[in-house]
Amino acid sequence: MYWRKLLKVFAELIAILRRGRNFEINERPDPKSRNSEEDSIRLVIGLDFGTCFTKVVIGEDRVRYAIPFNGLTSAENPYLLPSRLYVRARTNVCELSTESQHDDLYDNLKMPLIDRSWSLEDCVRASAYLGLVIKHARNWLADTHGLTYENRKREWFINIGLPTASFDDEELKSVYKSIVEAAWRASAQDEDITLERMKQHIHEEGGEISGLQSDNEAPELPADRINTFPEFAAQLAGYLRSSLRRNGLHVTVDVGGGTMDTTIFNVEEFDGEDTFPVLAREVHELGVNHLAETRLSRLPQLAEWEYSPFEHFPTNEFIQSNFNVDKERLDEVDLPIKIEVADAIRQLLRDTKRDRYPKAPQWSRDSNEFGKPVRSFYTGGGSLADFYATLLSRFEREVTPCRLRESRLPIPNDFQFANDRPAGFDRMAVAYGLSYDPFDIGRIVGVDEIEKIEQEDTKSTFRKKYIGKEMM
Amino acid sequence: MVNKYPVGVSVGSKDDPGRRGTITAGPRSRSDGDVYRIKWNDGSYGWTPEYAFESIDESGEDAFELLQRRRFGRIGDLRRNLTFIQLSGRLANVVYSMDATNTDFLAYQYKPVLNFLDSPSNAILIADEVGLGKTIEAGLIWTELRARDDTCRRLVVVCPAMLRDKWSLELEGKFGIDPRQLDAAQLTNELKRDKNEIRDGQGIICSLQGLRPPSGWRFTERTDSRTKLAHLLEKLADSEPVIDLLIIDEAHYLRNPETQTAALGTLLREVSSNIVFLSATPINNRQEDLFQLLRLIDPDSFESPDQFPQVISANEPLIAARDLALDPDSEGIQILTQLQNAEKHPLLANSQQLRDLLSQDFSFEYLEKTSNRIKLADRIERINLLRHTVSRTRKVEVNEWKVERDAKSHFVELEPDGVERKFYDKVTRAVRNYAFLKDVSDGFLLSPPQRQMSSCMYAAARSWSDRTRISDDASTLLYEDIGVEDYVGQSQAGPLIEFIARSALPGLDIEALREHDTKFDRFWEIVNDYFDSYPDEKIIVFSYFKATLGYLEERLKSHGVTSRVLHGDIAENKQSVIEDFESSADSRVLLTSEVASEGVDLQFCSLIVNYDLPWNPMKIEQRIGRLDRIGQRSDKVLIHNLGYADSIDERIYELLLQKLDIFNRAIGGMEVVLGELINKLTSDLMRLDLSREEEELRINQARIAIENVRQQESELEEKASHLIAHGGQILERVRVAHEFRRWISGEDLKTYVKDYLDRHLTGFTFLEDDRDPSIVSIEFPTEFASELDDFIRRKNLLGKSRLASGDTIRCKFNNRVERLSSKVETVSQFHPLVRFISDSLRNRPEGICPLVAVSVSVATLPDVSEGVYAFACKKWSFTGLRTEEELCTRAISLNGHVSPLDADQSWDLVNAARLNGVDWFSVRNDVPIDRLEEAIDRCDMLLDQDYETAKRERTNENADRVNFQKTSASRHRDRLLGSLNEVLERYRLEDEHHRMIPATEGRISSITRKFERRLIELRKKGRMTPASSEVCYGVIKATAA
Repeated sequence: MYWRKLLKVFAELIAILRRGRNFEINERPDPKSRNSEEDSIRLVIGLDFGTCFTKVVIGEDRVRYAIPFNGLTSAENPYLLPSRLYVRARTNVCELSTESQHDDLYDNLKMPLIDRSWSLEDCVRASAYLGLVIKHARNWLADTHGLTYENRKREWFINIGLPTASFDDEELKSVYKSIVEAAWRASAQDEDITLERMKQHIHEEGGEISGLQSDNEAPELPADRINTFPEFAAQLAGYLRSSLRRNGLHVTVDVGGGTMDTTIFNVEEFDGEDTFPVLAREVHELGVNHLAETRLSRLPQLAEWEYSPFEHFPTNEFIQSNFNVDKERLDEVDLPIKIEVADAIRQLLRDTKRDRYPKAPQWSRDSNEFGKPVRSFYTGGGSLADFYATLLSRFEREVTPCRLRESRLPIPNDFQFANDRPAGFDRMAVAYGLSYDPFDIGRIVGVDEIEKIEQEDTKSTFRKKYIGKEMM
Repeated sequence: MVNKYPVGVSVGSKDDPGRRGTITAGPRSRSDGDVYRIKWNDGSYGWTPEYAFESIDESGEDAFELLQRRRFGRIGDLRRNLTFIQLSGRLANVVYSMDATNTDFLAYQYKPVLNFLDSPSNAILIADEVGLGKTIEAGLIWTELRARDDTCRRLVVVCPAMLRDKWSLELEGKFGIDPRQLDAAQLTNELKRDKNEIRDGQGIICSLQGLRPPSGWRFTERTDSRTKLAHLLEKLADSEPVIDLLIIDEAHYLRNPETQTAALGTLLREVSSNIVFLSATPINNRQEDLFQLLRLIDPDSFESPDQFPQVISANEPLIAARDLALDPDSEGIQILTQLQNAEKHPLLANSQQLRDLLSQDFSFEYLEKTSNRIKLADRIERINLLRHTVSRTRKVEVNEWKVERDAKSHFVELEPDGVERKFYDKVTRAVRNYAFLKDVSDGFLLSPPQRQMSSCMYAAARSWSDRTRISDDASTLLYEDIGVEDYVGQSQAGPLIEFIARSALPGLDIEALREHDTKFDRFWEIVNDYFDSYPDEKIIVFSYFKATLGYLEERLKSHGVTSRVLHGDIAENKQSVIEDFESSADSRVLLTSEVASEGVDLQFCSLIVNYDLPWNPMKIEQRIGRLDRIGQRSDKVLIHNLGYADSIDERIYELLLQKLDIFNRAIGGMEVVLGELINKLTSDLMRLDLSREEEELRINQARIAIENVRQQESELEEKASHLIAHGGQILERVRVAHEFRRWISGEDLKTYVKDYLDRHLTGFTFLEDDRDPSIVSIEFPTEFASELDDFIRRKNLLGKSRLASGDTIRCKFNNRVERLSSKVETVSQFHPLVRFISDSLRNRPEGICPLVAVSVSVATLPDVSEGVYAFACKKWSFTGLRTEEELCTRAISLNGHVSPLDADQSWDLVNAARLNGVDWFSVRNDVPIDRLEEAIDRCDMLLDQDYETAKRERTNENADRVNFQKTSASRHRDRLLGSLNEVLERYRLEDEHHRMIPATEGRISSITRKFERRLIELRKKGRMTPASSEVCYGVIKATAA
């Protein structure tokens, strides 16, 4: 046996001498020596298109890459790209950043969509923006991990998040899909993206937005490759695949710039498939913008404060010391919003307890879980602001309708960051979840699909629905 | 639609071949093809397109087949491969006890562990200097034994009675062992129980005094428990060992072979499979002392005193050769000459290892490489089979902590006509008069009153006026200061006190002594100054006398300082007094007798006051040693010595203690000889009416005698070093093991358990705690819980886990030995679940991906440069006299100019990859597969060559060990039969013992049979069975950052 091995070594030595060079780490092997086999690989772009920031993750089976937007956003957290589109004054070329003050800035890209007031122009701008984002993400992958996917047929998917309240809005879902479809086409082309060119990919007919059939060489993405998912379900992907997972009642409170999105749902598993019956949900315009506006209007000392939804919300201590505001005064101004926010959450819990899920273990006296807190996730940039963080933490001490205990979304092992992991992984959780195969994100059972429990009729058909009978 | 993969088909991911699963649903049709739902072996489900997986054969795949198909496993697969081998095997190059106990990591404390593992007689004498943590070292050895051998159950610690509580605390707190203190009767009952019935994690502690057989026990019919125990031990010596590890603390008490304590040591030794002796003072002026201890440890190797010098002379050329090998300037011929000299010695003439070594390469080129020199030195050391008998570390060699000692003396002047001076003179005179009148020359008897007065005049006078109080103090003092084991003169102290009381107390105004207490005033200044500078610190004050301690407590209290008093008469356990003192914010001063100078840790203080001064330098060392030991946080220990000016104390201090530099230089192991010298000096100073010059002369003579002893001791130490393995090399092994974490972390264990459960079990709960990821709530389905329960019962691990109950149990993955707590169950490598998994995996092909690609930074590996390396990793096992397993790797750069990494560098690289590596996905486009295959093939070949070398060396070593043991066993048999035949002859001559003849003949025949069996077994074990199995192969991208 040894002489054979020895011969091989000699043969290798001779080969080295003949080549006259050695293999170096940065040197690519001779393409001829590579295996010509071309395995396909599934790549999923998870797009968390936020009111203020957009986050992107590209996932494959082994790893999910958080896409950094270096140079396009703050150095503090390169994974948060402001949801702002710049259009160059002279050329109409769309960009994600600008140094010129003359360019047009569009920073209200998402709200017209979710408040259903969209126009074609809104859709074109959103599509141009997402086209730039997708292009950036794909270029980043090619530059950074090109070698990993070289010689592989890449099967692309795009999943985009929708606010929970809009999840079953079929029209909105269709608009989103058209926008993403157009964005994909634009991203795949070499030429610059302009609003005019975007209009070649998207149109309006009878108030209905749709993608146009490709009239040029822009590659299409088959219809089943673009999917929408509610953000609350997507953000749980890491949690559901971790050892932290518990089935049963959960609450998410997503505090964004414009809205506070509260969802109460169950986590269940049927035959290996995650299912989320949504028991209650509400979107209130109680995001940080509302808090900032209230403070600005009632505290004249803040006249100098330049509030920006794209920056960290300042701490209370910062406001007090830099603008000479008494703590008592600040509390007084915040109080009405505090009551509003707390009531909004409380009311939703009460409704759930009364009408949707009266026998949940946490409030059912015969259950071992009685009185135990409901597992809750507080997400969105606003949840980190002092005001919301303090307020939400108080729910741990509430007794009625039930206690909430904040759980941290675990950072999954397969989540890879190009640089050091930034603080506040929660903000990437939606994009992370969206980078899974569309079949794997879970089945959402909308609020309307679950019958309301009539107090008198405890033997409703609820049992037949999506809550396990042991919970009845 | 064609269903290519029906439900239940086993599949594997193409991009992650370690990820396997089973089809559970599908297909669904989609634009990218058919998609199937798969339940993966990590417990997750997922819809996966057909192009991303392939069906697999359950039996697993060959690394080279995977390589051909460019299927590379990931970092997790590398970790899985290595952790499985580490946890299921018994690897020689893994220190299992490392970081698995609740002790700080100090490299030198693993020296005895490694020495012990290599000891051919399974016995070791740990002779570290005071304060280096011999107890911890012994605990680590037990932890290592437990980790390596599931059947190790019975631990017996035998120590002086005063150290039992300390042992209990240490075993429980640091090693998670449930301690039980047993007397002779209880131990007798315990040893009658089947060893296999003992639950894991228990320890027995007994006192030397409590077990010591009475003299003449063998020939008496007495029914006392110690005699019964001795008879039982003697009987058990003929059968299999009943004690897995015997630890004898303060083993120097066994030095004198004539004593019953030594007899106890012999009896226990014969029934124990592993032995650890602890003593800071093994060498005590006489070479015979060390020999006696070694004979107890390994009676077969150290049979007669004449043999000892022979062993030493045989080792001399080996030591010289080893030192030359380590000296980079030495030449091969010099080393070879020394080895040839060694071969001439009769004891080494048959050494196969030496013969093999002589044929090795001593060329300049070979020796140019430091790693080769180290390897050579190690091989030379392995020839000396007795090199691991003694492990010794001295404080000067320890770098982990260095504490400066700052000693100050305060000899207070007495007013010439003051009440203190008058009292002092009167008592001194009274003692001398008594000695003259009664013709007493015994220093033991004469010194206590004098010393008590020097301690505190007021307290002495007050206690003498109540004449019953002297004797207890005196006995303590005599035992402590002179170091004799049994003091018999206690009752004789009474008349002397009577005499002093009659001569010195009449007319004395005792209260005036309190009012004019010059020494206390100075003491108070010291205390006050210290507390001013260090308001949060505490002080330790030593005094021999309870009366002095009581007085100080009273006086400090009147100054508003709360103190704790500790002496032999305090009912409370001394450990709890010390713990209370440490934790109490109120107590600022610990006033203690010598009780606290042995076996306790006071390193939370850094100021010690010797309110009275021991004359014996060993005692000073012991007092200071309580503070100057591992764990001392301060970089300086302050020592204040108090005494009276122009007194014997002052002269002893200046002429003896200071000149011997006793406060800075440990006195080493001179305990007994010092006791004799100090006794003589004390006797002279007390008995004779000496002038100051004469006193000084006597003290100087004592000092010179002590210095001579010190000189002899260091010469002896030098000789004894021939029995001590080269510390530097062992420490290097320990450091490397620690640095590269060759041990198992809590995270490793969690992954190991979770992996197993995911792959082999359904319906279990494994929920991580929200706040602490190391805590997991685990619940098993009934069937699995019952399997685990069965395992726990079979392995006698009852009481070690509640997981077999089927309830949800909160577990903390932390590889530290801990007792079962009611709240959270610690899962360490000893936990029944981990053992169950390892047991189960040994019998089940696991199918871990055998080919991996990983990228790692090699910035911390000085010997490994950037580049791409192929590697191969194999497990070797050598079963002979003992079973040793080794995980070995070889790595080679794909850059053809660079020579292959040696075995250590390869292991460092692979281990660094295990610890810090990340996935390398682009490998299949980064590296030419054919070149990689060549390189892996070459690693394989190099490993096979290494294996052949190791096999030859191990075979030789095994043969030498077996020969050694065969010779020892024959000697042992001859020794036992010789003494039994003598006894038999005596019985035959003495009518009264005739009835003992059949029993003795029976024993002779049983011993003969036992040794026949032993020799047959040794012959079998002389045939080494080697085996080599593949662990994994792969490619590592070594990057700079």
